Amino acid sequence: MSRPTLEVLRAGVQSIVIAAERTGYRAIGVATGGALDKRAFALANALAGNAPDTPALEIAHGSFSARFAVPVPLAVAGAEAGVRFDGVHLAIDAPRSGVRVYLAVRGGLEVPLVLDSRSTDLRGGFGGWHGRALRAGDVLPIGGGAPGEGAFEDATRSYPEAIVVRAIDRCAPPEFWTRAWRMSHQSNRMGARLLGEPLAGGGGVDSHAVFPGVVQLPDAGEPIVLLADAQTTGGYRSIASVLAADLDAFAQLPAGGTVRFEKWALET
Amino acid sequence: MPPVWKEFGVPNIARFGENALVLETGAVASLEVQRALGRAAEALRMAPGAVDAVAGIGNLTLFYDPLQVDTANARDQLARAWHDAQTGASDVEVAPIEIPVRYGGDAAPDLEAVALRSGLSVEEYIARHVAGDYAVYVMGFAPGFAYVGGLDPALQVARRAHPRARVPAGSVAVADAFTGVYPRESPGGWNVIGRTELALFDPLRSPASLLSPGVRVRFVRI
Repeated sequence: MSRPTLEVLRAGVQSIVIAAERTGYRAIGVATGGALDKRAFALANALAGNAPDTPALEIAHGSFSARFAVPVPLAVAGAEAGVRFDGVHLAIDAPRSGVRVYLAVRGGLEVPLVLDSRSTDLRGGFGGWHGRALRAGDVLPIGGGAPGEGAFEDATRSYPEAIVVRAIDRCAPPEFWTRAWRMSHQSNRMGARLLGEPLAGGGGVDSHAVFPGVVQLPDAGEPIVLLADAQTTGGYRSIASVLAADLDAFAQLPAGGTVRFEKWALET
Repeated sequence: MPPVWKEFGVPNIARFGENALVLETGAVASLEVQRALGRAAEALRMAPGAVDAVAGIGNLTLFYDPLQVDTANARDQLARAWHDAQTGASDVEVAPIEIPVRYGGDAAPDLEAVALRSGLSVEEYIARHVAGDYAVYVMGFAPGFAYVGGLDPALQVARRAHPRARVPAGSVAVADAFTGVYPRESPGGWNVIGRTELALFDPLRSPASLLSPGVRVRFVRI
């Protein structure tokens, strides 16, 4: 009996291995990383019968297919996309709604622990599967030993194209809160670049620590919401920070989708 | 030597997001302030409930786990770490990290241009870059990338108008008030003046990063 493996046939736009966040290395410039949509990642793992943070795939924009050496139970969650699975072949179409699909296989993908996490760090080129996005022909070992039935759970769903997220004010101009912002196609795992009528008051300040959720305002006046792969320090004014619980929504917001920010007061 | 009290300025601590506090030192950025911030960050990482501590230019951010430490206690830890870092610990002299650099040649496409813009000969530019007393001001941009401060004002030039799509690993570069080394091939807009073979960042090594906030740095010509 051959070992359970996942062989990538079509890699899609950007498919990466994600697991737990990588904490404790910000001081040397290492991002926390991990899933962009943490709920969908957790759901996929739970439905596959895995412990939280078991290494799985984050598949941006779908168009992914794979072949399993032996039938393996698996689950998908996140962006609504056509998904076909016959126990051995899996195909995920481009999403009809949302952006990122999470694929968890029972037993998890076997990748090494690097700096305390199995998540891919694309900027540093380490972690996950050889520190990079998957390519056609990659064969990833699956953990967990005995193969099971090729059971399949599909928890993909639709996502709104207009979102409201809560954020803590720091020094945001009033118009930041009243305007609707459009998601730029230049957004990526480092940050959601927003388009709209530029705000005043942006620009450079002394470099300081930044983290997922921080809203930066560069000179051009269009905000950037930092996401999981954000750099650890930044020199643009940090005008607000989105609540961690509301960041998942950016993972599923397509280019052209709109964002509004709702001011959230911290209890002191 | 008895500890010497150094007042860099009046610090201010504010919340930043849900689980972080940022201390603004109120001090003018200097090698001394950044080295003290590096010491404070190092000490904070050992504090109960601390997740991470990151030095910025004249500021310090503490990330904490609210299930282990409440905001008031985290605030006290941050204030105390900065206070302690200013008193005495600076008397401990740690040897600088030496970075051997091959200046000029194919690996230094911008050296002649930056020397020209600085009004110096290439040899003078190299000599003054080597002569500097440096410290890591802040880490960022990429894993292991250090903004090394203390660059001779005469050597300071703006970053390139058109960033390169690929700057090779080990490229030693200057931009504005900083010099630094690209840990791995990446896009970049700094002016490249040399190359080192030293591995700045290796995630399988401990410590993974050769440089960290506050450490002293020397460039050695080879």
